[in-house]
Amino acid sequence: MAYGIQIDGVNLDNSSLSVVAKGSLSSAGTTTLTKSNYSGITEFKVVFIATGVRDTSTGELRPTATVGSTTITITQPSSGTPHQYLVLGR
Amino acid sequence: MSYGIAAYGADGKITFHSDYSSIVYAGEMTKSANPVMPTYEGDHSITLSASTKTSNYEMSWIVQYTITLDVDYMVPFYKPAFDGQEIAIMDIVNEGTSWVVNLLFSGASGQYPYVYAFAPLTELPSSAVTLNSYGIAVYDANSNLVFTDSKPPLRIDDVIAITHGTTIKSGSKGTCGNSSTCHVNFTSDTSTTYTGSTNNTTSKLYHIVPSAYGGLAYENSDDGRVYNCDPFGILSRPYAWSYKSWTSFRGTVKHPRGGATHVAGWQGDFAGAAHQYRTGDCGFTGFFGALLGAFLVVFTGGAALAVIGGALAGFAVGSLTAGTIPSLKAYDDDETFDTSNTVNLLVTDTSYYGITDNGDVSP
Repeated sequence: MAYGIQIDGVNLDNSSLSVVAKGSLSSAGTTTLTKSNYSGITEFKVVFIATGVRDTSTGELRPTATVGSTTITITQPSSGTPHQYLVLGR
Repeated sequence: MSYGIAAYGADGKITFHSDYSSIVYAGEMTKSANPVMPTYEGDHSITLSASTKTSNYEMSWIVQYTITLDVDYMVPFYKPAFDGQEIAIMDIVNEGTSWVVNLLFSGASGQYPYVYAFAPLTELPSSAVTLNSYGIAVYDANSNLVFTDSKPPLRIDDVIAITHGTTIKSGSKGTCGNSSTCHVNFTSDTSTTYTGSTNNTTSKLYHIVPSAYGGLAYENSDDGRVYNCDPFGILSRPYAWSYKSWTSFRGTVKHPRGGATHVAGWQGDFAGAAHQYRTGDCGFTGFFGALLGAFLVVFTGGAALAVIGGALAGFAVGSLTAGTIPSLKAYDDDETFDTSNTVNLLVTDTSYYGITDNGDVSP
């Protein structure tokens, strides 16, 4: 390779997702993250981990995430159940 | 960053960065409970045969996996057992140093998908990470290991935003009358196809926890009088019958090979049918309120909880979920929930992590 990093004879030329933020959601509310706080990251993806067994008899809703131009908004609905979130970036 | 190291891929995006933990492969999850298709078995229930569960109720199998992993965050990826398998990760439960995944899959009971656990490198205990005697180790400002060449980082081939539709079935379900053997057809007929940029192959791994769920229901009833109280057919007694059935559905995703499409559809996780026929005494006294009341009780969530508790004893309701006992809803009407939520489907490949591609699983 003409430039870059090679590990064990393999060129490391693929981007990878790293954890730029993480947290837990238990009560209804909104969490806002500012994208500019995460140096070098140009692409953000949010993954939710439902940390419990879903009870379909209660009309439970999962949290949502919106990645805007400057912020990432994570919303836990009032009928939500505990979740974790990972904001992944590359 | 005023110090540290950052590396970028050919696409100009981060490969690793000393401020952020990479996500790494942490181990294969093992099946900890055999696949089940739970059905309602309470009062007035109609037994669903194995073939009817799939042909009329579109049921899939619920299976449970576990892994011992002392981390606070875990991201499961699955590898379908065959081309076009419909899958939904239903639940992820952390109990101490164990993680449990409940998953719904189509196909034969032995065709459960492979499930692999990924976790932030900073979460892994030091005993789980062996540094090479050469290569790269990157630490953050708190001296946490955030990247090492001995643990390849999560390399994502594709990210697709998936949203399930609001309708499970738009066509006719058919009809059932006063019968304890009849079944309508709840097979879904709606799906949404999304096209990514990477072809699906046997070696691809997928992460998605669909949000959508719902159910289809059918109900029929009638009442009247039957003239059998005397040999001449003059005197009568009241009769009434009621028939109800339902399938509880989860939003699933399948990944047909040979292309880059991903199909958001539906599969049943819990179903049931019940029939009741009653006659009263000769004369004009009735029982109709009692009959309907019995069915109302049968189909409440509370009854469903008891059913699942029996059907899945030691599976999902047992020691795993003391604080959050689940209840699979029995449906009285067609409903869908949480369908407006867009969820990210992440696609990666076994080859990036040295995971053996075991190929497909035969029925």
